[in-house]
Amino acid sequence: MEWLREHVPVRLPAERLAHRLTLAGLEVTEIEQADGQPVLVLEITPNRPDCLSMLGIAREVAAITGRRLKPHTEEARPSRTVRARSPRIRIEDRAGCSRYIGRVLDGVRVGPSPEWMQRRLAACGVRAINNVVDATNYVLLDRGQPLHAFDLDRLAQETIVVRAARPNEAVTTLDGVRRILPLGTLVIADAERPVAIAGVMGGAESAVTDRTTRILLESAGFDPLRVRRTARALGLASESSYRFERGVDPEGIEPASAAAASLIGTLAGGSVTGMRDAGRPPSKRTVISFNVAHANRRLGIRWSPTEVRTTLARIFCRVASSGTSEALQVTVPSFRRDLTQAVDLEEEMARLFGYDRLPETIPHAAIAPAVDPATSSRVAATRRLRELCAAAGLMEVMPWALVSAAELSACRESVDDAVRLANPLSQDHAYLRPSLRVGLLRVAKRNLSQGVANLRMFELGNVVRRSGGSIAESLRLGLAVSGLWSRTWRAQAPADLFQLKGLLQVMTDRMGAGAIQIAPASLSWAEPGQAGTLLLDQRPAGVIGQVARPVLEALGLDQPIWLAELDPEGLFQARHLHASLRPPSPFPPVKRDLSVLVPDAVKFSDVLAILHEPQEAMTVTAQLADRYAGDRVPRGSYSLTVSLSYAHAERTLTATEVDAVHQRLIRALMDRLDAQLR
Amino acid sequence: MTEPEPSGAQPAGLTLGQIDAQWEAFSSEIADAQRPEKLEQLRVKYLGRKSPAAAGLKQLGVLPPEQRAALGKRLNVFKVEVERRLAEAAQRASAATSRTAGPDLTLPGDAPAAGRLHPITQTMQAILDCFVPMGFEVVEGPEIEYEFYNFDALNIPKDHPSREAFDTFFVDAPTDRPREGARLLRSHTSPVQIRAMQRRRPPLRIVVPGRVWRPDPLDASHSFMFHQVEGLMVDSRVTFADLKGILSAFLTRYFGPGTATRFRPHFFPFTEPSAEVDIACSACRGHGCSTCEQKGWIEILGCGMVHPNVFKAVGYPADRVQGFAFGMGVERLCMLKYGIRDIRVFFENDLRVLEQFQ
Repeated sequence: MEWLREHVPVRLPAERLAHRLTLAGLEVTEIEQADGQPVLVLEITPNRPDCLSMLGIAREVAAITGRRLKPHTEEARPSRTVRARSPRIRIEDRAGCSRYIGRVLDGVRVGPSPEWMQRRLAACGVRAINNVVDATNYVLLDRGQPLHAFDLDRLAQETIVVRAARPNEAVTTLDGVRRILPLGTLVIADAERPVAIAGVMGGAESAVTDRTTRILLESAGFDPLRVRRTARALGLASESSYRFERGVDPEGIEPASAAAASLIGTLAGGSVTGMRDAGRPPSKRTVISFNVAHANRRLGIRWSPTEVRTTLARIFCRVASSGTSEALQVTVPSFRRDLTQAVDLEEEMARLFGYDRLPETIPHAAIAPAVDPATSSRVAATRRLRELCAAAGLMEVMPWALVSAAELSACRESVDDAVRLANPLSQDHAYLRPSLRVGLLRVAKRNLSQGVANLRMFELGNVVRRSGGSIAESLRLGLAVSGLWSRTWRAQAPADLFQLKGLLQVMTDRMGAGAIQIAPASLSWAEPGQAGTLLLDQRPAGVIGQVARPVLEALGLDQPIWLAELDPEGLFQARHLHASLRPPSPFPPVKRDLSVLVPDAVKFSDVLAILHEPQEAMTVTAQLADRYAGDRVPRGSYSLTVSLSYAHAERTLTATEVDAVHQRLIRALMDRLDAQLR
Repeated sequence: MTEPEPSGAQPAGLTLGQIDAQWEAFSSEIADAQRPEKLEQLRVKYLGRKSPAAAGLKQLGVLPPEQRAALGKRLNVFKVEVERRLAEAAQRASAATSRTAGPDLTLPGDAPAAGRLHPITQTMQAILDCFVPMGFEVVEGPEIEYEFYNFDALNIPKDHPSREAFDTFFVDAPTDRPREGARLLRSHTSPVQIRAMQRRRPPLRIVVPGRVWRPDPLDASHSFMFHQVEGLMVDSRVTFADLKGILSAFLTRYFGPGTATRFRPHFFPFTEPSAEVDIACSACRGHGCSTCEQKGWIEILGCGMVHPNVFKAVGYPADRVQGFAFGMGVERLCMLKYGIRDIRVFFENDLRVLEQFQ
């Protein structure tokens, strides 16, 4: 705060100022105390590199509070002092370096910097080194212009060349690391070799030491992209690179150089004996056409041109009108490189006016019927499926959808089918899941190990598979059950394959899709004979099975788990039009039970096919009531009890009629399936 | 003075009026008598050997015949009626007793297996349910995206520091669409806006729920996988004031009336002006606490007026359309609502935790 007050006479208490700054877009995240002085910690968004300095913050404070910035003495001083021995500076890479100012200081005595400066640097997290280096860092923090001091006597031929790195060049940076420079890296070289990585870090060999007496002070403008690429390629970020990447004020290069030279003169003695200003002078300032009416239309407000002029003047813009009073020509200060279009100025207007003061309205808008009915019906179907699953008693789970190679192989999932991340955080989360199986088993493990023994879960989420050269992302419904499906003091039902099949039947029925069937199949992850392919309208739509023992063991699980995974697309494309309603028959059906012994080879579906064969005189509905296989029936066979319901749409059936059909069905079972009446 | 005895002391004194008084007393006492012992007490008191009625019967012989007939008749009626009422009460009592001997109705009922939606799903739907009635249509998009949709079209140029806020997982496979750049896991739901605008002409009013990814190491407040809901409204005249109105309506509906909110300038590459919206911390009411990191306010969402460069990227006439966009983190909203302190809770899926969300 005391440092800030050297730039702008602000008297607000720290908390008040923090609040004003936050509401103007410079969020104060914390107020610390250092040596009894409040220190504001700000979050500077990447569009505001001009605020990466005390001066920049002071300008904002001035704009917000309406106070004037204090003038600075160094700026008033003529910049071209003594020309006796100008350094040799050559910019070879003009795309990488727009301007390079070198000042030579003679008779410098290196020593520790004063206590007040060390304290301020520390508050900003910068380590004190010596009075020369600290002065450059101080000016960087104060004005946002990165600077560097070379020991002039250690520069070959006292020459500076700004150029691209040549093959196999290297430099040992100030942190003591020898770095091989990628070809084309922008470097500062002397007559022989690179001595600094431009805009990133200086070299150790040319650094200012206790024995240094002559220095070359660098203040330059480097291309943001080049600095950024270099910093990234070398994995080396610094206060300098951070500012250059975001862009420094082209008009600040010279004043910062002058300020630093003056500061070094004060702290370490020495005087400026030479100077060279190479490269281009700052380019013209940006001029933006700003239409007040347009801004008002976009923000929903009514500002007058006068109001806009005075407001923009607070952030150092020069405003001129062109033609009508609504159309303004705004000249932007050099340090606001983020202001390039009219909308940028609209934001400046809005934040200085105060977002909270802008009106709040409900839009007038035309009703837009869904332009994309396919999307909205799919969204609705997804939501319905989720709700059905929950209503059917399943808990929705949402495990992390990145998995490890080890998990994939434990779950018998081919690593080749899975898509890997190029930059995973860790090997635990390196692959996009190719199925929901891995996640469901992970959740099962977590819960079983916590003593939650009964699992009923579902997940509806995307899986990603590699197929040939392409990558396919698709939605899956996964179900998993284990332990008891339900348990009350009166009855309990185990979780098993039929529980899972029943759930799928409910889903498909309620989604208006056809019947779901299981075709026995062998699956890599499932117990042999306890697995199958799910068929929806005779088309493969997923898998179902009991997780194989070796898979459980590999995952450290010891309780049987049943899993199903379904491609829900078939459910979403289910018939949209409902079949017409069938009124219930007013004629009560006749009920008969049927108990037969059938050979083991006969499937229930074979029995049902015969019972449901169309009959001339009536409709027959069969429902399985009991199935028994065990000691009370002959080996090689099992018994079935089926409840049959005989009905006619137009009249009451007589017992004689029903008996005739009933007997015929028994006969058909006996003849065609080798069944025996019990 | 001796106390008057309840029976026999003044036998000739039992009058018709006294019998009526006895009846009144009995009627009021039996009304709230239920237990068998109490009924027996009443029988002794009103019909027992020492009762006024018994005494009265004994005195009948000494009365003149005309008095004897009237009193006798009245006493008889009294006795029959008392017995009848006692029998009724006894029956009622025993009926009540036999009912409690039936099923123990305090036993638990058979609840059907209860499923639940995941808290993230619930929160997402709650958010969507605020916008859908205001005419926003729900739209979804792919999780595996291309650089063009995730960055370039959103005015986030390559090699620009603004990309740093969107650290991204890339897919380890060469792209199949070189013009749209490398494949990645979308780091926000905004690419869906681009796809929707490419597909349709304005006016447009959409909300986009979805899963997003950023390579942040797991800790209590970071997960590399999380969820967002994004909104976009574009036409020829929608304003920043409209954006404030819509979002205030949402915040009131989601957090309840009386929730203090503030709009704060911020930077997003794809909007200009941009804002962040805070609500007053409900834990400390704006004074600063650990929930709000001592700020008193909690950041809820980001928003702004769509940047003209975004309209240009999708081929909209930037001078004739305008619109707003907003986006919010689903986990964050859910954590605030339920006081959850660790984001990992959502993805560890401990069923004992998930069961607590209705």
